[in-house]
Amino acid sequence: MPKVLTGHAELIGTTMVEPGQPLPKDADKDLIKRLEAEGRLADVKPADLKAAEEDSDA
Amino acid sequence: MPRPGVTVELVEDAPSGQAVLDSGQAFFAGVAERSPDHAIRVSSLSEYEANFGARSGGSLLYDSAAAYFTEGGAVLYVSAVAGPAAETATGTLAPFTVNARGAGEWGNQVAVRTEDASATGGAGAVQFVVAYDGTDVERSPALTSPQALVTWAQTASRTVTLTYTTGSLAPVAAVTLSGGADDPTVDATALKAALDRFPYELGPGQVAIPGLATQLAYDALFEHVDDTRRVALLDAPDSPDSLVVGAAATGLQTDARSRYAAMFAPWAIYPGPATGVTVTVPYTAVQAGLLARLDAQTQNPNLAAAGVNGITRGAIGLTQTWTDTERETLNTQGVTVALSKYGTIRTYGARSAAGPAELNWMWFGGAREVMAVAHEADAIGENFALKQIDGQRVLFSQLNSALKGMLLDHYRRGALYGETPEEAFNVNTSASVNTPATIAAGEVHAVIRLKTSPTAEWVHIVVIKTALDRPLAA
Repeated sequence: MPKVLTGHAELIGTTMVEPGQPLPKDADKDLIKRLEAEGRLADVKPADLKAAEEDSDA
Repeated sequence: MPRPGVTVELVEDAPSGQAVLDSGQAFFAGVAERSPDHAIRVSSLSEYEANFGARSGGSLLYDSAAAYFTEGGAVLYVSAVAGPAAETATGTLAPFTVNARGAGEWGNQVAVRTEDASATGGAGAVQFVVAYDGTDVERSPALTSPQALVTWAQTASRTVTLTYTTGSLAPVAAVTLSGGADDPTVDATALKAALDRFPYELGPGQVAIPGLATQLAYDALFEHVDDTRRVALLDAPDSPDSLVVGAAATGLQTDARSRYAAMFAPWAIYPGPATGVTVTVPYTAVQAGLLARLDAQTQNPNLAAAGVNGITRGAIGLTQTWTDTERETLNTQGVTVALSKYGTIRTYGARSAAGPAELNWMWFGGAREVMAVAHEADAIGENFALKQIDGQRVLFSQLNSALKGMLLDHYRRGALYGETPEEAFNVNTSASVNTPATIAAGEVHAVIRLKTSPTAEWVHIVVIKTALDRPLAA
């Protein structure tokens, strides 16, 4: 299931990810573990994620 | 030109020609919705929003600017970090080329048009109208010459700049700008480019990349403050594990430049943009505001914005809570920790990132005092750099008294330590520093020695002014 960032924006690799946005595909595994431990990742349904992306494109 | 009534135009302040010596000013770099290619001085959140866009395009920087102003900050220089692929939206509205002010996709929502204004401005007059996201946001006065419109855009528009190509003014239907693109890449090159937009001449202050708790950001800040004689505020990772936070600080202590930096943890919680919503703010932004408030009240950069002097106005919580032991350990490792006490959120500590082994530099106030003195001494030296050097050394003794006068002010405010002024500071402009060789080179030298704390040794600041305005070496 895709995961989105919660809390505040985070620099992941060289990409700044805003809360509510999905993690980049090449995100570092250690960083994902840390974010998971901090409760900073939320599961979203693929359909919701697609809708959110379409909203942001509009 | 017939112009009935009065047209009022609001224009941002022109930069002052004087040296800026407000040690409370802050410099923030970060990702924003709009990425202008230069740093912009803002003094309120609405001014930030007008220049750097909405919160959604860069929430960390937006929330940081908001917290800085809430806590009492007055002057903030902002520089947007953008990757190399960021593009500025552009369009053609005869007789102009229109560019969005700052790169980014936001520019594709800007539409521009010119309307007939001959009724109010006389024959041939037009008004230039800028719309954003379907709503008119800016409108020029009725003007008759293309040059006047270019000047209007330059001085009054927050959204577009105009370049005159050829032709005359006429009403033209709306044109939407296009080609704007974001590039969220934040790498060493992008960070350096953003920080380089804060040149030495803007004066002393606190520099931060709020929320970026990575070695990349720390290195970029160290290099910047080493060049500009400012101080850096570093965010620790927003981690519940105090060992992770402590490791971030101890990892910096082999770098001598860490004496001009301080690290802060945890992050603060502030009321958010809507009722019932909170946001987490990097503590560097909070501390920058607290320092600005205290500097304005006391004019003493060596005073710690901590304890009763470090109580936040707007924070309602902290992201992490640690035990007293964990907090004390972090403090000795060079992390300044905020805590909740008596119902308020406050900074509790004033360590530099240099760590406990650097007895001279373990307190951050000392680094800030050296920063303030170095910039003020440079500004004073400016008055002497272009003068004829005389045989009787009158010039050097005048420089000596001017520097001593400045240091005496610092001493009276309690920023320098000693039973007497002589124990606290000393200025040397004698023949030992102004040698025949330096005089022949057209240089004016001064060596300042000062004590920033009862335990610290003398700190030396060497001021060298030449007619070429070379930055001082410390």
